[in-house]
Amino acid sequence: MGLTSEPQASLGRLGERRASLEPWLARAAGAAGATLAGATALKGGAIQENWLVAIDFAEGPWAGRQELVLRSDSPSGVEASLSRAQEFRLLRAAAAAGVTVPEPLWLCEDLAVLGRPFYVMRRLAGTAAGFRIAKDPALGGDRERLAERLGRELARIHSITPASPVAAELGFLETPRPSPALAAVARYRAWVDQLGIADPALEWGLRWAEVQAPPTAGLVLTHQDFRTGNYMVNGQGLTGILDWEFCAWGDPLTDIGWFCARCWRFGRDSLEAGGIASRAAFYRGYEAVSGRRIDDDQVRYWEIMAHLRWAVIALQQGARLWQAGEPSLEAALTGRIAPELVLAALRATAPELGRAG
Amino acid sequence: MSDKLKAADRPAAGELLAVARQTLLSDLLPALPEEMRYQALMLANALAIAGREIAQTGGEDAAALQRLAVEIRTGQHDGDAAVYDRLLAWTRARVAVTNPKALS
Repeated sequence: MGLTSEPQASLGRLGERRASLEPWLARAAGAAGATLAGATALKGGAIQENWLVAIDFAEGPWAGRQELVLRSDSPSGVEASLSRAQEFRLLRAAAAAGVTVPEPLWLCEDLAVLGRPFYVMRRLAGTAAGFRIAKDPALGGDRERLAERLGRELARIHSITPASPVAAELGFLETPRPSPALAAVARYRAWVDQLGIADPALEWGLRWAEVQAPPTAGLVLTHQDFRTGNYMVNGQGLTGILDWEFCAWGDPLTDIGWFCARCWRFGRDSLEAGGIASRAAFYRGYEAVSGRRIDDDQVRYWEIMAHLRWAVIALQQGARLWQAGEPSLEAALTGRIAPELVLAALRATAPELGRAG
Repeated sequence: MSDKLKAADRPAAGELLAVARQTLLSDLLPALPEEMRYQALMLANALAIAGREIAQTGGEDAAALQRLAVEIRTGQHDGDAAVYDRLLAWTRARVAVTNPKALS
């Protein structure tokens, strides 16, 4: 999503709610009053709505004009993603663990205010657009340093475990059983069955992932969408990790495989760390903070799994080409990238010589 | 619709798609504002995919694919090189429709 556009005078649909929103904002900010001065809908996912809002606070610690981001559930909720209230708690836990995130400020679960739960966070500077970042090396500062930094950030996310004190706040997170890999295979099979899709090539990959499923030493908080496109950079470097709605307890290598998978390199295949830098730089940052050596062989497993997962998600998006009666060309075309993702998984899972039969 | 009926009318569906796509790219795209460019290119891509799909011949039988999917899931073809080769050929043919550049 691009959080770069300027708020405009028009308040859009948020303006219809100012009578309830403004008093709530004032109370949350400890201000004598709050005026919604601008609201711009930002391009987000189908899952939530993001608004860049300009708010004039009267008195209190936030006095003056503040540019913030308001994030609400979208009217058409997608299953398998977290609610805004859960996301807010995750952001707080991540911030406390030292992860660079847009600082979460205030959560509203009272439906009388906006009709949907929402929270307000600080606005981050920069861009997150994956293709732009991959194409323009001036973004994000030195790229090896950026990848190393991202490795460190990911290790901090993974420092949160089910045994952490903060886990008491995160009881909504799913625990994969019997293991993260096998739970993933079962979930993707259930999703393609729901879609009514019978794709034997995809099934080949999923069967391979089932047979080859690695054990997971210890569960950690996994982001589940940690990739180029979901972090924000400015000219100097990283400004924040975004898109926390798919978090789950899982295998730390899931996130490393997702980040490095070829399908998330935005055409810069030789730059194995998310299309921006060397894999070594990313690993180096991760290992320095986690104190754990990355098992590269197992990462390769999760990179194949990444292609399978993205293929299944693409098929789901393709099935939603009509959204509330509106056509989505982007969703339709996303559905059709599944074959190339499946092909990549197939190429990586050829039967071993001598085992055929 | 039978193949015979499909073949009756001219220009054929594939030709219509090709002309529509070319008109979009040559005439409409240069006149569109910058912020609509991405959508127009997506539209051109959708037309190209549909055109390639119409032009494709052969392919696998849907019922056979469904059976194969179940057999693979239940482990009846683990390490089966013949099945693997068939899946690879079939998937390559699909990518030749959706994104031929990914085959190189």
